[in-house]
Amino acid sequence: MMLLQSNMALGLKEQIQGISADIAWLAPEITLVITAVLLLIYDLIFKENKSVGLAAIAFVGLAFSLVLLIASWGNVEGDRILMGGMIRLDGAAIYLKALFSIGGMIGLVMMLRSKQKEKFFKSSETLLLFFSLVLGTFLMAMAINFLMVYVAIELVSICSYVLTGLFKSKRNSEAAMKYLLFGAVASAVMIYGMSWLYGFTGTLDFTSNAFVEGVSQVAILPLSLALIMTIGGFVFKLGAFPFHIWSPDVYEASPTPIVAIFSSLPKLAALAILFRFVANLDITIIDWQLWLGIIAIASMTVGNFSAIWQKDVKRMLAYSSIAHAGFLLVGVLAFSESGSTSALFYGSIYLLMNFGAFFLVQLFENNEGKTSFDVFKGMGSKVPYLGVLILIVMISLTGLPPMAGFNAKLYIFSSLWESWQTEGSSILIWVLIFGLLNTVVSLFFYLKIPYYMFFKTRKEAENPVTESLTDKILGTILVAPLLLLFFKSDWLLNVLNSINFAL
Amino acid sequence: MPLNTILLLGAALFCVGLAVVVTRKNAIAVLIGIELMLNAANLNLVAFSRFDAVEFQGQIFALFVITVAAAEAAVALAIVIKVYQHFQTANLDKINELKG
Repeated sequence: MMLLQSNMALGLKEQIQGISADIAWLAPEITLVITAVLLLIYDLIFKENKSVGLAAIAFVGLAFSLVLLIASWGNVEGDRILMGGMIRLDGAAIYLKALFSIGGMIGLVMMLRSKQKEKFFKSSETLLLFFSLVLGTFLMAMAINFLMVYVAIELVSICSYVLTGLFKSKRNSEAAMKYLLFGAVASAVMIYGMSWLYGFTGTLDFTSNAFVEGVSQVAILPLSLALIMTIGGFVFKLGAFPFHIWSPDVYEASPTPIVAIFSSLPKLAALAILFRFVANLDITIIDWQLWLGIIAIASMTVGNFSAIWQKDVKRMLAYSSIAHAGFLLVGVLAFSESGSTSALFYGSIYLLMNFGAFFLVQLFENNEGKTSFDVFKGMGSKVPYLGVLILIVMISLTGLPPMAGFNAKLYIFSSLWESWQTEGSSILIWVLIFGLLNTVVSLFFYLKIPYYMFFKTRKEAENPVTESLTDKILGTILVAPLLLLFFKSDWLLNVLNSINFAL
Repeated sequence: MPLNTILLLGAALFCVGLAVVVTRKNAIAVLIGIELMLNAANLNLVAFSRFDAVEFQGQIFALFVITVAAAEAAVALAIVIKVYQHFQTANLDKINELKG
């Protein structure tokens, strides 16, 4: 909108100058695009043994964008509206993008340690889609315009559909099909809701004053319908109730490194969009806390209770990620500075433990070729070190001390408690009660893996267990922050507190 | 044409699309339903664009929607072909190997 407005006010020349000045701020995204192009060119030039070169280019690209992001951390005073009002670059966006590049690098390491390594690095196909997905999450973290939101979400979604169905198997194609149909319907509903919001307000920039004014003049029923439809699209990417149905199937069928990325990057990016969208609209117009509270309660409950009955570890982790989406929403519905900080803290810890869990599960999957709980039977005595690592990750996912998952849940619930005390809205206390009860429920299925490892013995013939030193070191590096951030959580909190969330 | 007519047409298209998505069993038919839903949104966007202080926003959005929908349709059809190779059917009720 501002682009076109200023198009009339300013001349074309000033307009182009403004955009080319903004491009410098998008250096991390440009790095990702250039890396993707380099991967493509490398793939065309070299014919054999491409895996080393492809992995190196991809890793350097992600690391370079991380460096650029860290360098820009100190330079952004307040926030910047870039590209004529399409995106907003602020502390939270930079933090999330840095988190996504770290996640992307862990994902790459997981691909390299996978048994199906050859499939990932046979050509640049997978990595190209992977980089587009990361680029999409970067844009999602910054978008403040409906057009940008739509394009970024679709970029992530379409790459996800292809990544799910990329490998040739019956299960993969079925999962891709289900994912695509759910995703396409969710985005069609979202775009229809957006079109109504555009009609009500006459602007696509949902952080502008014109948007808030326009929304406050509309009758409650049509407004609620349009908002529910729009939020439905965000909730689909977040993987929360009621748009969670695709995730167990997709998680079970897709290769483990891809699943680890699906379950963390797009989820946190969708949370960022939801946060920006919700934060600007006054609570007096729409009772956000009630809506988001219901979604959060339903996600936690459905996720946790479905996870109990699963026989496949990846399916179990899928339901657990639905439950965690509910916990992430708690930080948004607290509607306070501390709520936003704790949501980001929870998101960071969730990303770490999720990658840790999938990395360790992949080690056993490499060994046995499947991910049912039986794989873990009696493994505790064979590979005690990995067993301890899994125990740590699972305790962290449950949210018990002495792991960082506990701090994350503590902060998120204490921010909820604070806003309940100041506002006294009854939905907040219900969310708190359900959250605590769900934490108890989650104990049963998270500790099932360590229980199978240490207390069950297997009857059938065993595969020889391979436990390489590299995997041990990588596993330790992934798990160590969970312990460290329990004792020194103020390190991360200090970083997060320096972010200004005011819109 | 008055705005109301276009909006009603859009709403009707959206409902028809959603009904097709929910009731039809064939993957291709479901995709057609999704296209109808997207075009309902396009109609709205173009119709509202006329009342915008800044012209063309809605129309440009509609162009983006059309382009992305084309990309999505290409991916969707590729996946349907893959599913058909494995299952010998595009009937969504019979594609249910993943359960739990």
